[in-house]
Amino acid sequence: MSTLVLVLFQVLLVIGLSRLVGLGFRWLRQPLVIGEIVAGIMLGPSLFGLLAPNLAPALFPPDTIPYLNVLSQVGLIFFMFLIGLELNPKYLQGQFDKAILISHVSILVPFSLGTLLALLLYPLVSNASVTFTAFALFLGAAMSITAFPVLARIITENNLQGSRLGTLALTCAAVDDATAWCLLALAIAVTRTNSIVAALPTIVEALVYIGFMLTLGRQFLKLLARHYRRTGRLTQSVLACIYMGVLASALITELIGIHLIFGAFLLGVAMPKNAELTRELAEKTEDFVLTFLLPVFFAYSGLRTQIGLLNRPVLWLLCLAVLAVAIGGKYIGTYGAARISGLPKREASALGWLMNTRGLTELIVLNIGLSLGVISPLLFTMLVIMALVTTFMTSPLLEMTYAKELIRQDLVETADPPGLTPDQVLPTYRILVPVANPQSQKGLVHLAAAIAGTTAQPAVVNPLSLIQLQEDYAYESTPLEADRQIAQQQKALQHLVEALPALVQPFVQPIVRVGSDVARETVQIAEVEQADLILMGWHRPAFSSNRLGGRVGQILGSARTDVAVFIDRQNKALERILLPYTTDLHSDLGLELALRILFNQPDAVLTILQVTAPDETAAELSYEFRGVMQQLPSTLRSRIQLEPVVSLEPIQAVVQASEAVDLTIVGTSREWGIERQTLGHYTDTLAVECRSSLLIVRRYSQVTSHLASVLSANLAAGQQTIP
Amino acid sequence: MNEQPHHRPPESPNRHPSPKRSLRTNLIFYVATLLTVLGLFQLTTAYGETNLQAPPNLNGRYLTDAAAPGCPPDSRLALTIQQSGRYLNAALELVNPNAQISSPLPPRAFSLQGDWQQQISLAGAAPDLASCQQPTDLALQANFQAASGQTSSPTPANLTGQIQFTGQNWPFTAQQQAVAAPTNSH
Repeated sequence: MSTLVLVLFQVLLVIGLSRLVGLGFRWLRQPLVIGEIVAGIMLGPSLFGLLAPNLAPALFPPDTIPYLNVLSQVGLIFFMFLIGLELNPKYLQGQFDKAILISHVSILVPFSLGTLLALLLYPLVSNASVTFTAFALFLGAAMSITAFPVLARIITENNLQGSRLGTLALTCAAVDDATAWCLLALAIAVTRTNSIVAALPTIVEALVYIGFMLTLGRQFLKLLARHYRRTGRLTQSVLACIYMGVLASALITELIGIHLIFGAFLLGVAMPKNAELTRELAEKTEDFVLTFLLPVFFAYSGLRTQIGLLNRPVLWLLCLAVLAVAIGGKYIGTYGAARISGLPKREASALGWLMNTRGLTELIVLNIGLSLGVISPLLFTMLVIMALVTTFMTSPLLEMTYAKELIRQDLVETADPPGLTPDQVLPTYRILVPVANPQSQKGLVHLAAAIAGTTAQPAVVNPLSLIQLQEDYAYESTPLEADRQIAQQQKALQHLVEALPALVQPFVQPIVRVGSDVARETVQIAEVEQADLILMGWHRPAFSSNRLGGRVGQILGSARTDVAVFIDRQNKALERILLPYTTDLHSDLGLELALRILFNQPDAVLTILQVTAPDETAAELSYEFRGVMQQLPSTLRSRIQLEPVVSLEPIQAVVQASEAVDLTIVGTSREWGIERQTLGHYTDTLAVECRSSLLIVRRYSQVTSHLASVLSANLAAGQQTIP
Repeated sequence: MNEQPHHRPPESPNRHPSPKRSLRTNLIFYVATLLTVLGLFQLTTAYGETNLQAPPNLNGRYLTDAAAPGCPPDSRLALTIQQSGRYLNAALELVNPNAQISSPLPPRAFSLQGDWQQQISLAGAAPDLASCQQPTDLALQANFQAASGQTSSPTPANLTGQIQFTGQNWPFTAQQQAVAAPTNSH
């Protein structure tokens, strides 16, 4: 097989496996890029080579490696360009003085510990072709890396980008990243010339070039922004010029003696941060780079990772030592500096864990080190393991120390009506309304407002819109972009709110957040906010599937709150309500909600349908039911009528009765063919044939009462109840 | 449902030192840390350069120049060393000296393990030696002499030592063939 054919086949394999494993890690709620790195390692001697010692070298023979190398270097160059592009000075606005201190201490501590560790490692795992200075410098640099791109994604996905912790972490990571690259440039220069003194010319040239790019280069690139503003789009000619610039800059830094990637990174940083230009440029570049070229880099790196080299216990001990120094150095440094800056303990701790993310950036640094011969394959493997472990632990540790509390704080600020002073009473009744499509779900929010009302008690309706970031590693998931999307969605929800009656509007507070798993986020927010009810809409896509699939089913299954599912028939009115009655808690919930609507809409009427089979006597109304009815004020009771119906088919009876009403409320009981969790295979009948809008309710908690405040409000208002 | 009205939790108290004082404190702290680290780095590298010694670069393939006793006359022994600092993995094969160097050995071939303590010590199995009517378990010790000489007529690195079997010793002299030192490339 010719080399070219083999290389293309290898790339095919690499892309496919990267996607698969990446998505697997996504499912584990880890960054996609970690999965891609692991896929690369799997293809190398660590797994594939071990399992198939004859197939592996046949599939990845040595003469194809240089080709993979070229592809991966090109990928790296453009990837670093994208990183520089995303580095927006806006990130540096937040708490700059704190960030400088924290980020520099978070480099200096692991760096020092790294150089001390070099004292241990040099005689053990290095060889005499590397000077101690170069080795120590490199190891120190490797310990002090924080991966800004991976960190930015983790922050966006946890909705932290607007919080104090989030902005601080981003600023620190940005400063940290830039400083670490400079350290790496120094390490490379020293390695190539073997002493710091001999590296001085290289350092000076590098500084001159950086200065040039950030001043004159920037001015020149601003012309580009002007051109873009005039034409409104990024033509291929302009794109060609930009790519030529990337390559030219990379070549210049290579000639200077630091690595290719710095030039590309520098050009990205120097590009004018015109939002549309940056976005279009990023979108045009990233798809190919991220799906084709970058996985090749990971595979190339993986082919050099040999976990089999750690074949003695002492080597695993050294690996643990490396891990301990890396984690400890970063965490202690960051925590200490953060505490000195005045951050509370929890935030400082969360910041420490966040800054530990090393991921992709570390891998780039390590590959350079291995290529230069500063580190041996054994140390390379140990450091790769360190990079993976530190990145892997960030998300879980962050959730453990901080995320829930922050969600709470964040939501407290956005989810309650504005203008509440701390002495004012907060809402005691809350409905959470997941809204997928603001345009078509007006009826849903309308219903929520009708149930909540404002006369009984201070109530709040929270329409919830969750932005799912589709592309895990793209420009659209950077914090600034995510904020822009959030703002867009908030506008859409605001339109929705403005269509509601004026009385209700102040009590409808939209929440917009980023969420990768919509069902999970919704359930979590409902718990944190102590929502009394989750009200969702259900459109009827393919009714051939009997299960209530997708999000609604997931939420029904996992929510620890009462849930109601609304099937809208686009009736504008909510005046005539039908409640088929059975003696179970779900129907009781349905009754409570119906009564709330009655209470809030003075014109509404309720018909309670009691279906009995021809040979049965009418079932007695339950004790709770009668109790509730007795407590109602007369204004409410007069609008309720009981309608006994004799029929063999309860469902058909309901369908017939629904002809005359606007809304039918039904509990998830088998009677009406609706299972608690899945809205089983009878759902078709009722949901299809019901003539009115349908509200399916499921009670979770037996203790929650949706009526207590309505009733007590009446007592307080002095209404007499007839015993 | 909460019937008790709930209030917002009180905000955590923020320390507000006067801006000037905090800036000066930060600056002093920052400069002090920087100087400490630089000093530490200088000390460490000075100590490391003078006192610490890493093993020489032993990576490569070493070929004996004569056939070993009991082995086919046109065969040679080839020792391939994979070095991880002090820790060595190696493979001992029986090869035809005129044959081209084949592709790099798979990880499983490195069945000898040992370390460097001023000399190479390896132990393990060499399955190829079965065709020399020898047991395949052996131990190998050798002294290493680095490559030297002018670029016009360089002397390759070589190993001098012995291979020990149960009840037998073979002398072992080999010269380095392939230069396995990594190049300053990408």
